Amino acid sequence: MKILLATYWLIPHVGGVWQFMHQLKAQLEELGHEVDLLGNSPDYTKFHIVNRGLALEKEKLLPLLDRQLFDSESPYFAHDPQHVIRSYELDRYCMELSAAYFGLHQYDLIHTQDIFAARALSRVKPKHVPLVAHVHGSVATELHTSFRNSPQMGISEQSPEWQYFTLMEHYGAASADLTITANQWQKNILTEQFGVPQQQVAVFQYGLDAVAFWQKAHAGTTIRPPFGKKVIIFPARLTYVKGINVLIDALALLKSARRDWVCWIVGDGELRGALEHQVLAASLQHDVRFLGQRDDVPALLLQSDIFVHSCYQDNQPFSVMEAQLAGLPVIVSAAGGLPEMVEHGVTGLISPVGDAIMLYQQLKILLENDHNRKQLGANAQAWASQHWSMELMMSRLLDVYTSVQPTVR
Amino acid sequence: MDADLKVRGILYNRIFAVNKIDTELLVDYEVWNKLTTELPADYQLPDMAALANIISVKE
Repeated sequence: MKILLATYWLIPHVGGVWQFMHQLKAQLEELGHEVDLLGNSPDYTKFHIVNRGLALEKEKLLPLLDRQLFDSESPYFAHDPQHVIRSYELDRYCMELSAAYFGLHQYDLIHTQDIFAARALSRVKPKHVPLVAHVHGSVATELHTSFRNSPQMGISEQSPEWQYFTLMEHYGAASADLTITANQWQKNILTEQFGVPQQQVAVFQYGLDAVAFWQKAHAGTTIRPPFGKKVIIFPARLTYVKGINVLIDALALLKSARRDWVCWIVGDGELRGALEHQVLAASLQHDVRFLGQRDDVPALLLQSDIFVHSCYQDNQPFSVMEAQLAGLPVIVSAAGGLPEMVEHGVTGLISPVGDAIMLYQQLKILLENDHNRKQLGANAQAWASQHWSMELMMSRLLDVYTSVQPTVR
Repeated sequence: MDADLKVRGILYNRIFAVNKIDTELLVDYEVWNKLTTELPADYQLPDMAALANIISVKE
């Protein structure tokens, strides 16, 4: 088959969607399929099919779109003083027109990676080309939270801007022949909050390329833990939603009880300065290391003893999957899809969201009892090697691809 | 064919649900001609099927 993987977001990118698309392309090509990757360019100036070097500059489209749809003489009206709707819609229509320009008749199947791409491609694809939509997160939920946390924007539940993302979540997820989520949590959001029909959504977990993971793990790292110290590791983008501040609060408590540990925070982001300040204020500067963005995370996991992901919201992060495959006990918060990834007391521990005291107690338990900690890690590894199997995900995905093919008449 | 040929935007009015603007705006012929050929016959902007609750046509 010739397959188009498409996203409204930027490609290439450091985020998980690009990682997923890149990995999926390789897997599909190994099976003999031909795959193109469509998305926004990293500088937002064009939509491109990145693997073929095809691009259409948005400046060729925007003047007419803006004049017809959104400027003061436009026949349409939307109360949108901060141009939130205008900005998203213009970019979505650029995606629709760019996809048409590149030509969609050549594809046997289109597989989108977000709600905007799903809605966009559903409107411009030939009727006979099936559309599968993966939903990797809830754009509406994230934007609604952002509006709630930014009262100065003046956007409330009654505002068109708020309703816009509700509508896009619904129509995006409902526009495909079949929609896929990685866990029940994400499916419940779509069906219960955004009115997507139950039968529209299939649930199956992501897969991890174990061969590539172990190659990187065994390639090693120059980082070594200090003698006699156990390593607590938290790889994540340094953003608010990841809840790294919760771990630092827990470590401040842990230090008063035990000194046989260090913590490695792996990743970069807008909060790095604030988190370094928090570490300093808690006198943890000799206990917590910020390692920055690194390519050797699998090898760092092999040097570590406990993995923490104390986020406020997450779907099904690759970092947790990798930690489990590496044989680490994981301590995760009860946020989003995380409780579906860990069996409490068997493959790891689950703590309430934002609860630094509980996290401290769980870290202390795992540091105190080597046997228990290693048993949880071994259980996690045995479970992960089956559950996160790439072959399993590809088999389910190919079943979906087959199920949406038009029947021969 | 001149690759940089510009034509009036109103040539592509069929994809806009309402056309009240007699625009003099010029657009790239090669791009707009190719993409409108590829679009489904019933394709229209804006996406009123999804957004009718928040976008309305001015009186």
